[in-house]
Amino acid sequence: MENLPESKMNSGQNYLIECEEVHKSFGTFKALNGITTKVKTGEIVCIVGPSGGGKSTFLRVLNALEDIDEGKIVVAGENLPGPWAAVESIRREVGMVFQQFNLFAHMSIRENVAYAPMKARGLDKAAATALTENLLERVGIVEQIDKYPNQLSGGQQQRVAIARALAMQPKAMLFDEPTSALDPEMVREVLDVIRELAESGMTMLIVTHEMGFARQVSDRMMFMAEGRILVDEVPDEFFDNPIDQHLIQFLSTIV
Amino acid sequence: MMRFEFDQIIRYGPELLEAFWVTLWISAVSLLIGIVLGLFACLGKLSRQGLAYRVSSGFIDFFRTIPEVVLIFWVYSCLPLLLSVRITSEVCGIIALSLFSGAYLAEIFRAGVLAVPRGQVDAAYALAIPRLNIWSRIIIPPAIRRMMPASINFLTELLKATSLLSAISVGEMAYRASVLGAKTLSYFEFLSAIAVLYFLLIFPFSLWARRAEKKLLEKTGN
Repeated sequence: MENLPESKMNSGQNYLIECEEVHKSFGTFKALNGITTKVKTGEIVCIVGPSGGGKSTFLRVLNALEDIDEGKIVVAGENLPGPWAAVESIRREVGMVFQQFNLFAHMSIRENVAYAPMKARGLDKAAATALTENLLERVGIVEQIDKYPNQLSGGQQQRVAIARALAMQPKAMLFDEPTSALDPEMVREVLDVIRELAESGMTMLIVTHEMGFARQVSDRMMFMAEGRILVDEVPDEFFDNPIDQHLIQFLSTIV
Repeated sequence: MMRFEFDQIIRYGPELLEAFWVTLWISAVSLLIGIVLGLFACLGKLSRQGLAYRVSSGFIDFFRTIPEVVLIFWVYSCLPLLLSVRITSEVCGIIALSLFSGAYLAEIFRAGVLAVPRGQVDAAYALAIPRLNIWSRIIIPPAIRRMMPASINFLTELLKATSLLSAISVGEMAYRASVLGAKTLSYFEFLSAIAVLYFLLIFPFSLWARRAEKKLLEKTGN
């Protein structure tokens, strides 16, 4: 990437995520049109851009929720496209948080968080319970542990969803517009949890429309449109000295 | 002036009860086989491509389309010739109703699975939960809840459809009532009696389906 900051280019080979010329179409719609980028361990990348620009699809292909048509992806040492074992290995190492929370509606909050570590990490019940209580404490939901998702507010559900992903003890987290489905007064409680996670050194890719938040937490800002990464820049340059015409126009539409 | 001779019903009560029993067990066996067929056809159709998909789709489309009576006559008249074996009318009836049930239940099951929110399945995959556990814990329990009202409604259809087996002289309620009617000329009594029996048998299931539907709406209405 021509406008990748130099410090990022030279510092070590420790990439957690690498993409090379990734293409993905849905029918005739080209969702990803040649994505090439790398993300280092511990790096926080915020991705912004107009809807339909490929941001969600980009996150989804990193977790093999969508197969790619062309190109190559390496996540936590495993290649995509790859065998099912590689796919599962990637998913164990990469947590994902969705716009619509996607909690398991028929399971209690406790089960929502504890189920995956027991089935996919082989934790016994006691260990999973301890982990669950610990994580729910961390996101501030521990009093609601025996409730069901529909008894919680959107902000609380999303915090549970974050705890559920963290329960797999992932190396990286993908956030797909984590606050877009929330009422305004609940946005902050979710952003605070993500911010705390950022301070703990978690590698994160965050698709968001919260520009202030993105600028504050990110090491790198990406602007995606028409299936490409048009800008990849440190936050100050990204917001203060945008060069790309699409980005300038996009930023001008954001209040 | 027509008289309703209640004595006739009492007199032939044991025969009617036996016929009631035949209706019940033929429905139960057909339902069980239909559930198994329906599960396989549902999975085949959900696979969306390949041989299993084509066979399942063909099975479902065919047996949902042809009239049940034609299916029953076909199994009764043609299947024994094709296989050159003798098949009792009860077994013919069970075969026909099982195929009928399998095709309808497959679509009911499939609708239930597809009604499980896609996002929850995505989340389960993203958490690396093994596929078998995704099916057993994430997809099937809510799918069953969603398919219950339609399944119970189908059961009422199946119970009614057993009366069509009178056409191949399976000794269920409709057949027995018409035979007794012919024998005693008390058609009025026997047909009325089985109408009441059918109602008593089926109506509780209708109520159950209604309740299941209401509960489902409360659960998923949010």
